[in-house]
Amino acid sequence: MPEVSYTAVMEIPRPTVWDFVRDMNNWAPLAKGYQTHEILNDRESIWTIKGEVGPISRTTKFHITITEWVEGERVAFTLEGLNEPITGEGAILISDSDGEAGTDIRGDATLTFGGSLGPILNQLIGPWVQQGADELVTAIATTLQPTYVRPSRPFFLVRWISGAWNFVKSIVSAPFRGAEEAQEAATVEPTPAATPAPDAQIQKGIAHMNVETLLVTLSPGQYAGATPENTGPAKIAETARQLEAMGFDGLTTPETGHDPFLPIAIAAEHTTRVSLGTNVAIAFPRTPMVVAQMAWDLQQWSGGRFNIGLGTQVKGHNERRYSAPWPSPPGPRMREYVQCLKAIFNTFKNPGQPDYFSGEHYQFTLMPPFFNPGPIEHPDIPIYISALNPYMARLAGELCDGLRLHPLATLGYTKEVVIAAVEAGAKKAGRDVSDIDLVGSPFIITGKDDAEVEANKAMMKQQIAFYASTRTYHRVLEFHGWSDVGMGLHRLSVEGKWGEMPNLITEEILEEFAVIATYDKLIPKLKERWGEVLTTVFLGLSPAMQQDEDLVQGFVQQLHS
Amino acid sequence: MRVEVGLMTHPFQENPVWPGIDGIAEAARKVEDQGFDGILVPEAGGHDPFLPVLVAIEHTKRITVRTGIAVAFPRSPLVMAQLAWDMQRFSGGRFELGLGTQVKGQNERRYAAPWTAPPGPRLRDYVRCLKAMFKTFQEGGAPAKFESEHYTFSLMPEFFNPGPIDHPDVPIQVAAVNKYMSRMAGELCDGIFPHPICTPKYMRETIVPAIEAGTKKAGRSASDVAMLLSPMIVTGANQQEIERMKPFVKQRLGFYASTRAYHGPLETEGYLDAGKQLFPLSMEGKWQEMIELVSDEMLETFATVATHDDLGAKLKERWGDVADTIHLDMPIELRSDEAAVRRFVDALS
Repeated sequence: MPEVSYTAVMEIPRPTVWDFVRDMNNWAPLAKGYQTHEILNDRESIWTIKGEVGPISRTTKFHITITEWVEGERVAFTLEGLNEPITGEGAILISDSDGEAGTDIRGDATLTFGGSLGPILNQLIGPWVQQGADELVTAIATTLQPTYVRPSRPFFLVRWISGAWNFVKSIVSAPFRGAEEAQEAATVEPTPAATPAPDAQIQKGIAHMNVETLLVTLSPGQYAGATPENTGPAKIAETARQLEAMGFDGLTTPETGHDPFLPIAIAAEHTTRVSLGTNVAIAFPRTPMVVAQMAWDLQQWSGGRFNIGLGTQVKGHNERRYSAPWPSPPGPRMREYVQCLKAIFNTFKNPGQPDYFSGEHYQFTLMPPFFNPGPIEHPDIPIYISALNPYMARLAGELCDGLRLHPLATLGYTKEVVIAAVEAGAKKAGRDVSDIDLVGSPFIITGKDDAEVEANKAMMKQQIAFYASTRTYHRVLEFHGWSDVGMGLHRLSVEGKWGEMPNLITEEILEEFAVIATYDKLIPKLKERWGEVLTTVFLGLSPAMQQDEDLVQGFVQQLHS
Repeated sequence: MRVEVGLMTHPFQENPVWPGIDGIAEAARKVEDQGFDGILVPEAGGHDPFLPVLVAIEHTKRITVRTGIAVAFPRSPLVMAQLAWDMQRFSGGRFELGLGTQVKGQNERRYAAPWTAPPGPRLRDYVRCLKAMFKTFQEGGAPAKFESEHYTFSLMPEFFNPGPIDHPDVPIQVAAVNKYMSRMAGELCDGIFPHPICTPKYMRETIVPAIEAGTKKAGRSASDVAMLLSPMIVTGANQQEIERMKPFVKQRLGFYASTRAYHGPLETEGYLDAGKQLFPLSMEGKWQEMIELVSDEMLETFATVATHDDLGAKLKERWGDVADTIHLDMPIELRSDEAAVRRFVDALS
């Protein structure tokens, strides 16, 4: 139940401020996410607000009823969601500034989500509500007094907001990058018939699984978000050392608003054993030479511990966020990208014998000696790509050293679709499927006891519902015969009925997508399900887990034994 | 005059050294201790420029650390914006972003980056797109939409927004050798890196007037645009050492002079013919013959030739009126002579 408040101190007389505030038509359009409002009568109005929490965007209609009207001093109101189980109240208060000639204007708001998702959403919505209050009051202030400057927020508040926000990010970042599995890749070649994976593959890795986690979200506010006081190379170095000491085999960096290569340079300097990789770097906005130069230096600096993880992201993010062209379907383009990278590495390795590459999308045909960094000690830098669809999986089998599975890949889908495609690719290239490191990051629902596990289920249902509503991922649902669920989720998402979506995720579906167990049974269950398929497992750490070093160390030991 | 130094020796020098991470850390700390004002990391030798910048930031407290320059087009604007924003946060506002275009052939054939249009207008769009991204990072909410012929930015879910930082005005500087880029620097940028091949005469006649045209257009002052010079130097403890260094700088100058995009300064100084002769040799990779085509006289026109003891005074004489910041690719021998370095920094600042 987020409860927020924001005060602006203004240098104009109180009556002027009141005159503006008393008419809702003046300031309603200034509200965050404002779409429309309609005044029903003196006391009631309907507002349409579009909110964005993480990757989820939803449009909510609120019924606002004015409950208190003190002329020149305050307006209080209640609000009720018409298409969402939300209730709340708020007020705009006007008072004389302490000891000054100006006026204080304060906005208060409390929002409570009901329904099964209430406890989760109430945690997530906080930053959004706070920002909404800040922005509305600030907008009123700047409308009335153009010279108004919004002061920085108190540090504790920034900490809180970014902590909550980071938690959301840590949960959704790994799945979200999988969106790079663009639809176009799927349309390039048809799905091969599902064939059982070879026995050799199924036997793989039962005893020992490598385990990796994220380098940059160990503690809330560490790297993403608005906490400069708590970020930086020193913190990344400390985290890297801690995680290495806990026994992790690999540390990886997502690309969610920050460059993914930089933290790896710091980790390379401050660790000695763990492997370090991007998870994943978006390929096309960087040309092959840009990635090759960074990779070559990081590989040298880390003494051979670096691996490149690449993904494509979707067309809209490439074109509209990265400002990078999207000239053709991503699959064949990624294939050339990897080939071009390898040609560059070969040329770095043997400056006397340039290995030039000319493809449809990428050319590498020039390397004057002054631009060749020359050979390094461990020149074979592993290349991983993220994959959910067969095209990318086949590409991984043919050309790459590893494949990063999307969390939505179930065991059945992985065995029969992904691994079959990896195998087909490997066969084409005369390689063995065991040459390819298969990294999985299955959804995990856990907690110290059954009650915590149950509580976490709601969050996971929402997340799975969100991904399953996206047609990019329907291939997995189809595989399990749940196409109708996917279409139903898609329909609800189009209609904006986000609150109803988790209801479509049954316990059966949840069991298929997630490993569900209390802390003490988690790793045995994870190994039982995935040990036969994955060589490496990505273990995301919730804030609760991050607080408990022994617990995490225990997980790592169990995965290794 | 501010004095900055390259973190790594230039690959054209006698013993090109690209230190490992510990070497970079140590060099950065030393540069700060020696009283320099900043460090410049080029994108040279086939190395990424941002990684050494990061290590230098990690191991220093006071000095400016900049790319000088990073090649723009092979990195999309958001890739560049993310890098710059992280650096600025990590450094507490000590980072500056130096950008350049490189030439068509290097973009297309080495970087595998398309060369869709003349570089000037494209870099202009690139810089404006970066500024829209920085604004969006700092202010949050809907993106500060930017649409132009070459770059578009219209999507920034909060999930991917890195959020505000304490020093959001990341200085952007561009490398320039011609009028268009100089005018653009004057209009939009916080500084300019005239190419090392630019001589004082070329600066006076071409670069400075173009910068002023740009500042005038944008209603800015010429002092808003920092002049960052990276002159070529030939130095040594004595004449013998100077002679030994000459071929390496001649090779560098010959390479620059062979590049048609840099022929403006050659023309100003009466060396256009040499440039035209050098061009086919570079295409054939005849690096040794190129050195022979660069005379001592040509070298002294484009580079500052002086002993360690005289170098500071000579640079000041040549560039004192023009430069706000001077960057030096110091050869190892000069770097290791602590006393000479201090005298040198004192002479210049």
